[in-house]
Amino acid sequence: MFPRWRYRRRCRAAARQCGLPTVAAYAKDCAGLDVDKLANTPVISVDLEMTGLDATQNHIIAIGWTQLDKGRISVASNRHVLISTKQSVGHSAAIHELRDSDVAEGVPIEDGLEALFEAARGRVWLFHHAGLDVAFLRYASRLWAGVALPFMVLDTMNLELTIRKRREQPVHHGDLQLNKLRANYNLPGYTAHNALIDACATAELLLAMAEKMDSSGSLRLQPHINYY
Amino acid sequence: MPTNYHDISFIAEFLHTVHPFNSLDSEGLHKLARTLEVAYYAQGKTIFSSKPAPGLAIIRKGAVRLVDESHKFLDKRSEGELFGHDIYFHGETKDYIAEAEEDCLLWLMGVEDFKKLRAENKLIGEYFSSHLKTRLSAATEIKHSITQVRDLLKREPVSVDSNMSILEVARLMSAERVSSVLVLCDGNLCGIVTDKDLRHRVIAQALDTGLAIAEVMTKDPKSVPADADVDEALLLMMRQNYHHLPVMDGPRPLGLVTAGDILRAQSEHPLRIVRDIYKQNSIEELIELSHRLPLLFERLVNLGRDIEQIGRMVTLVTDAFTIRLIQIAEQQLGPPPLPFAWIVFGSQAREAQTARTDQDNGIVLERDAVGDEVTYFEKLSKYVCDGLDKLGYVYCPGEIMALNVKWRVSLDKWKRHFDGWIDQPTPKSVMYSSIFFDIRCVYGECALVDELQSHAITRAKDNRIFRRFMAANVLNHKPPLGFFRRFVQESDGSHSEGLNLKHRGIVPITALVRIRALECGIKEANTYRRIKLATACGAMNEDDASSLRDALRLINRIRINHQSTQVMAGETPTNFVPIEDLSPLLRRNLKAAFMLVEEAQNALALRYQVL
Amino acid sequence: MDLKTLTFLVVGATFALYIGIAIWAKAGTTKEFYVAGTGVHPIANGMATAADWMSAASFISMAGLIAFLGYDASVYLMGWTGGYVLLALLLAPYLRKFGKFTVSEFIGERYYSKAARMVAVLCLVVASITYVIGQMKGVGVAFGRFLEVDFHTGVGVGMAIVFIYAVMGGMKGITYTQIAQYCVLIFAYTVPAIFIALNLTGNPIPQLGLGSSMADGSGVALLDKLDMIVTDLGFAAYTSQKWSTLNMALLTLSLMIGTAGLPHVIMRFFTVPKVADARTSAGWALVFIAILYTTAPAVGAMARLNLMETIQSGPVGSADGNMVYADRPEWFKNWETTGLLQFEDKNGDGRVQYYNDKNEEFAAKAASFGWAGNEMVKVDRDIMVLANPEIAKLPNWVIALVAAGGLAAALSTAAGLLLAISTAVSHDVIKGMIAPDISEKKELLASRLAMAGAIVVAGYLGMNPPGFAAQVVALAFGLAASSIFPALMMGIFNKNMDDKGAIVGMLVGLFSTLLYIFWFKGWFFIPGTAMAANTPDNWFMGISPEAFGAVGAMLNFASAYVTSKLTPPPPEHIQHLVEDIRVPMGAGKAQRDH
Repeated sequence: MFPRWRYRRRCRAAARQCGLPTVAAYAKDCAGLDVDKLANTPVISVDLEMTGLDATQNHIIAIGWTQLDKGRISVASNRHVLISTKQSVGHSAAIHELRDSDVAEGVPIEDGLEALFEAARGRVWLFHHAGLDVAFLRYASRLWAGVALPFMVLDTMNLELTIRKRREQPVHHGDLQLNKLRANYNLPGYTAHNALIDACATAELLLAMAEKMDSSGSLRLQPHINYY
Repeated sequence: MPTNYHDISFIAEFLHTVHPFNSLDSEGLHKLARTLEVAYYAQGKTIFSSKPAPGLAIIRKGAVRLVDESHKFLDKRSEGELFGHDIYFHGETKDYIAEAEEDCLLWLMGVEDFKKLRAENKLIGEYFSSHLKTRLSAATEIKHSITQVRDLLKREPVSVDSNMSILEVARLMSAERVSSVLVLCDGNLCGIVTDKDLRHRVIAQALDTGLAIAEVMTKDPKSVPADADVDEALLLMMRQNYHHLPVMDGPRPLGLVTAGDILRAQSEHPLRIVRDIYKQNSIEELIELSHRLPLLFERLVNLGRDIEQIGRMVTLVTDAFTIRLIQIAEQQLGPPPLPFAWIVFGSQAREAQTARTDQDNGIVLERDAVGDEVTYFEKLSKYVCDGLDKLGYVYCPGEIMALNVKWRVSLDKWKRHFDGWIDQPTPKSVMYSSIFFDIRCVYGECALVDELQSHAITRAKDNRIFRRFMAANVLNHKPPLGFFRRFVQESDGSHSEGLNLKHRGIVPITALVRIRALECGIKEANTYRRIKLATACGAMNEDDASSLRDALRLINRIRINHQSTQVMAGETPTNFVPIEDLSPLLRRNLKAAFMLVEEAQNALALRYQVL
Repeated sequence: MDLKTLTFLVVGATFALYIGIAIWAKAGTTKEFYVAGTGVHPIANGMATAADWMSAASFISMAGLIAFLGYDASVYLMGWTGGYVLLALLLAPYLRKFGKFTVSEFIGERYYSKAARMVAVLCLVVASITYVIGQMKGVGVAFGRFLEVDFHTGVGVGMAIVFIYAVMGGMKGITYTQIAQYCVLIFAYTVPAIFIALNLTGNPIPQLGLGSSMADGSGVALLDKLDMIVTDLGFAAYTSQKWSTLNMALLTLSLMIGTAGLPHVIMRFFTVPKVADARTSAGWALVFIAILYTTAPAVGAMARLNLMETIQSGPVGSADGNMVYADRPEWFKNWETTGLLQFEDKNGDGRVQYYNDKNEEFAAKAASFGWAGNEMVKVDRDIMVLANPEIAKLPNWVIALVAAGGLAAALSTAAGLLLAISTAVSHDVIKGMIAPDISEKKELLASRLAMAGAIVVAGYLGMNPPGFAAQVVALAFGLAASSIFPALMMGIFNKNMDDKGAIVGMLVGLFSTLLYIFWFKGWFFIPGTAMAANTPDNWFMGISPEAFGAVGAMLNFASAYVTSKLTPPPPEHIQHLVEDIRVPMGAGKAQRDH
């Protein structure tokens, strides 16, 4: 019931409870965050690489993000941060192509989160398949900041599901993969993969979807927001 | 949190394929990337209608229509192309409106950043400048930032005096852990000794190791200056089959590079294939290798290498296949009964091959072959020509191949062929001349070819009447500009219409330059080097020469890019490039190039009075 | 349809034909690389050569000269035909062996001297421009008549068209265009001739008609009748020889040897790839040229006869024997507008009297008829061929055709010459001497300017012509004969001839001839500046300025020989070269191959 109010309340609470300035600033701004059409909504598109699928057991090893303002992605805001972890990347290396030696060059998770939340200040989060990534972020940020930070999230996978439902199109297995979706929206394929490229790819996909859903550019994002 | 290159290198990577940004080095590309914003426009949307445009746009994906105020179509831009800057439409800049013809992903640069970019980078500034000649020049000179050989040197060279004994040298080499040393005579480089030399020339011959090293060294080795282009050095090594190449700073040796150094430095260098070719022992294996050719061509093109070098590298591969085939044939047939040279003509001789190429070759024999010798060379050429055909170098439609007994004759007969063409320049003779005057020896007794060239070129140099016929023939291949300088598209029958860049672009320039080269008696076959030499000898004015060279580069670049796209799409590469595939800027540059060719043709016509 | 419209149509149609052929020939040249074009058949090439050869002088002027000079004018026929043979047999093969296709290059190389080359260029330019004057005159006559404007305006229009034609250039040099030009030209020349011959003699072949008797039933031979008519009016008999034999011989010689020095003709010998074919096509060219040249005497004689009979319609001296001016035919009026035909009613009888009032005996007799002098104060001979069909009352389309033929002749020759002049100036002079590093663009510009300059000079002189088209052309031949021919001959046949000898010889020949011409024709042909009247009495040994070229050539030979004896012989390799040229083709090759 009234998830938006609940979200604001949680924001204000987090701002009060946390002493870390970055977190406090994030929490303070998230309370006043208002979502309108894409052109008026600042967004941060994020993608993570993890050593596994369990937020409580596995670790984040890379974070990539980029910011969207006024409906445009600013290349200058691109960041790719490798996180150092004691845990071996193990079999997950096959997916994200990060080896232990690469990860060893990374920064501590705290520094990575600090930079991320700094960049996310006053922004709506964007993920492709938000559930997993948000779970990792929530878990990590609770360890770091001591509070469960609230997230206002757009999810391109959810958006696509909504669109398909509206058009009564069936969804087949694998249809909602990032690359497949991008191809459907005539976006270029990226041969390489890392957290940043996927974050950018997701941001581009959002631009394309928004255009497709309402070509006048006045698509209201509010109905598509999820709160975590 | 520091930013590292990984953040945007995937963007820089694409920018690197966009003309003119491919002239930027890595740092420049990253700097440029950071100024960009990504935007998406659905099909049919107006991207901008303001004047002036709100900056520069790079099409990452999709296509854009440029129209004027009354919505009249001006031009279309597609992936990897630019708009937003001043664009020439039929010779004048116009304000234009940009509309998304397809869904578009664009990379945008604001006016201020664009201004700054142009100001900071001369080549790019020139590219976007309105002056025609600077633009043409900028369009072609832009090339990959090339590493110099200097950058590859790891250590000071180990050098010895020529009087040192073999034993001492060998000990020094062990101590220094090097596989080769430079030999100095009075302080100047005069030889080189490698492990292999010691093995073959000393141990295998049971030579006295107390002898001076000068006895067993390779004398006067080829060397390159330190500022030589890496690819250039690699070409030299691969062509001559050298393993070590001294790098010089003036007379002083700076160090040694090996082909391995270069190949390692540029991981997966396309020319690795050349080494592989020489390792194959049967035609089947060679055929297997030849499947890599389309990909190789595409890689060479996309590496953004200098256009002259693309032709040379592609040719180098053809040469390697040819030589290997001859070697294999010799293994099967036994050593040749008399000295001969394998010669190539046309684009292979000019080192200007592209994706689509057939074989033009012949054999010069030291004297007339008799009896079994005839059969030997018949078999040899059959093996090589058939082999080349199987490798994708199809038979020459004009039967200019060693396979044809007419082009497998003695030096004397070759001379008589040339004399005949020069004395009686019938249309057929002139056609032959335009092929056979571009000649290069790839295997065997190259001195034979040298003598043939000296003979033929001296005669052509002295005979203006012959050259007049050549000149008249040049004028048969006019650039594809019709009345009012409009492009004339043609059809090759199977494909849609396009500009015939080979017959109406490359052929006229090549032919023009050939005549200028003959005026000076230049033996060189490569068109770019011919231009250089003809300018030095005074047959061409320097401005004209550089214009013509730029024109050739541009036309070649467009043709090769087009062919590369076709090869990648699995199509047969053609020389017909539809105008629609060219951006207005390219079109305008191309038109300028063609106009230069036309002017050069007119000057030639005037000179030989063939109006 | 009136004549003017018809002329526009026919001239337009022929031009469209030339351009059409040019475009057709150029299109589709981008063949597959290994498909060579087929060669041009020697007959076709012969026709093209003939078109090149026949200038306005041949087409428009020669018959006119014959019409008025009668027998004497036959030297033009002999000289030009002979010159062609001389060139084909004596010079072209050697020049070809030398591998050079322009005279200036040959001289520059043979005499190993830039100075010699420059002098040769000077001689060529002077001779060529003089030649172009003749073409301009012809073009002016043709345009003046058919646009029905003043002759000077006609020349102006002609200049513009010649310039466009020469700059566009594309039409020239294409063998098929020239074949078309030849066809137009020869058709235009012979068709009226056939009609007229048929009318006058009942024999359709003009060459035979000339020797036949009149078809009016009188049984009198045509030439006899013409002799009778002209002598009746005090003119010299048509078939009599009026010049001294020496003058005729020298004029013939000048015309013959001058041919060799004219750049546009010699070029044609080098456009055929094979020597054997070159010979065959030269032979065919001679045949095609002969068709026109043998028709010319008939056209001349018949035109004169028609003209005389039109004006002197009745017996000489009878009251109504002369044409009434008010009833003059249309063509008469038209030519009057051009200013090339002028009538002045000296005795005020309203009739036209055309007779030789210089002949004192007849002038006295004429006075008794009440004639107060020749009333045809100007009859330009160059109008004869063009006016001929009109005088003979042939259909309009024939008349229009003649105009097209005349223009074809003048334009093709003028374009060839202008090209040679512009190349000489832009390449030999500017690139060769003044600015060796000139860009191609500037070289092209220089050539255009040279072309325009040559046209302006030639046009100006064409308006103030020093003679009739054929005579001006004869001067050009004289200049070429005196300057170039000896240098060529000695270059080939005298291995001891050196650069200094050649230069002195050429300069002596050129300037002696120019001086002689200017002396009698005015300095730079400016009217009124002549040092002596241009009459046989004043001429040196009765040699006319047109004929002096042969004398100049002799002076050239002599001075060159003397100079070369006084200076060191040419270098060894040049002497070998000269010996080598004279060895037949195959032998020379065998020597080189040793």
